[in-house]
Amino acid sequence: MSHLNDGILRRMQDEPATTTAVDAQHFESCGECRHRFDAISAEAAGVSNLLAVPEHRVEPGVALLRMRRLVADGPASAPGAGSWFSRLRERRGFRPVAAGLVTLGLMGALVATGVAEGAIQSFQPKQFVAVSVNPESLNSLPDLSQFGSYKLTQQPRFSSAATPDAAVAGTGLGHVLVPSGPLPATVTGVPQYASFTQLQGSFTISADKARQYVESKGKSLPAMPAGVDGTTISVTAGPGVLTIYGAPSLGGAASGDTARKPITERLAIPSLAIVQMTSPKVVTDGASVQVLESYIASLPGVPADLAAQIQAIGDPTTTLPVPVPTGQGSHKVDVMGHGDGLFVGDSTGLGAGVIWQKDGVLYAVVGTLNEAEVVSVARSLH
Amino acid sequence: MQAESATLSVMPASQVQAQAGDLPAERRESRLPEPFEQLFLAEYTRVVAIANRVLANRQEAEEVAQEVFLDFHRSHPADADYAAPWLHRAAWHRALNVLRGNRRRMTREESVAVAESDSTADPEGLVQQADQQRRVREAMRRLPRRSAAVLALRYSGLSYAEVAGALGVSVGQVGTLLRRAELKLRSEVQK
Repeated sequence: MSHLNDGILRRMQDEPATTTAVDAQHFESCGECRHRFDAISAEAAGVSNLLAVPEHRVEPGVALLRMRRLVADGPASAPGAGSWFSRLRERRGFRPVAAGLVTLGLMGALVATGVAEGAIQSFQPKQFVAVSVNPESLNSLPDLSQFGSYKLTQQPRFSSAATPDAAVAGTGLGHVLVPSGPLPATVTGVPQYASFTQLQGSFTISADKARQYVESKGKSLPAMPAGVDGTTISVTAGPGVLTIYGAPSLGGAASGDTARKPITERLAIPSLAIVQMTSPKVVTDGASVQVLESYIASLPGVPADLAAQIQAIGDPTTTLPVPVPTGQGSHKVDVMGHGDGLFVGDSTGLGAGVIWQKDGVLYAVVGTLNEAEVVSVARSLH
Repeated sequence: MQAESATLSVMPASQVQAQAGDLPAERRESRLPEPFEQLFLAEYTRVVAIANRVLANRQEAEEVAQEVFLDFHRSHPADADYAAPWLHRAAWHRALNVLRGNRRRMTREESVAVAESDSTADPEGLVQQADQQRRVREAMRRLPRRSAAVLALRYSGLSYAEVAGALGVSVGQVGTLLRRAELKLRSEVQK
């Protein structure tokens, strides 16, 4: 039998009752293992001295009274409810921005499917390219969600989990990448893990609905080419795992000093979020997507430069456009061992992210960080 | 290994109620859900111990523990089967963040903490203890997070199974992680 490893010998010192009979038998007969055990024990005793802290009395009963007071004084919210996302969703301004992003996403999906000519066309992103968007134009973009009907055939369900392993169980992703090494100092709070099930949905274009919507805005709908009316775009995304640091915002109630808390904590915005999910897949039928692409580009409210950028994408079957607000930087980054990713953000620390795809899995690291920090976190994932 | 040094003093729920009854009416906050209060009383001492093992600062450790329980109360059901490992994990994580953000407070508060621990010791000995505390906390701050975590969890008295639950690893891995972390800590302290 080979010698006992350091881990087993270390545990033998702390929890000898857990030693297996086979290991115990080897230990008794092996002078080398006993010698290593003595050395490991001596080193552990030294570390114990290093880590010794002054004794003090802990009174949970008194602390519980304080906790009752903190809860009573804190912001009203039911236990287990009120996720950071739901609070973000309630924030003013979220809805128009979300509508704009949905429109961009649909445009990206349509354009990305544009090369294939078959009746059924599908694509799955393998790389990402930045598309510069003026934030002010988000409000003027036509809300493409009003051009037809959504059908959510499978809504993703979110479940919190205690550990990355618990979160990944059942998602088919195999392994959750977690940061190794120190996190940026501005990343606060404990990591929270959640898994989400697959989203399945479709969007069917309706000429009648599109016309009503555009006319309600005081404009007229350009004539719809043949076949566009009734085209269905089906999307699947996930399942996946979400790791969030710095949400929800609770620290202020505990310390009574919210002014010193990071802005992200006060606004209940996570300071760091890591997404790992099965790459989204888009399938379309009906009209040629080139026709759809040209038609959308011709709609009132779509800036010419935006349409041109999307149509200029080199390999649309595998490339997903990522909207980047004007003024934000974006460029390709090497995510060290994970392949090439797209960085979006700036150096102010107000917000940055890296997104990449590998082996059919999409990864994103976003946070209120600067470029060096967010790239460092992405590279440290293992 | 040194046993957990924080003195356990769990006050029965009935005694908590009695204390609450002694408070002025405006101070008598309503009770929290029973499962949460039971969880709090069962785990508070260990959560403080984990944070204190990282911070070596009683007051900050208790603040961390309060924030951890508050986080848990707002976001999770008290009877969740993952409650204890979640709290333990949150304790070291938050304490480590506090430690890494608090370089400035080193020395002075730790000197006070050491002095509190042994008021009869000679001044030179206190200075040496304070210096060691400072070097150990600096080393903990430089360690990889998982190494710092396994040290904080194990040396605050958690069993190998509990450490495994908090770190999300198998019990069989804990000994190896602990051994490596101990070697790293000694190396960092000697730098």
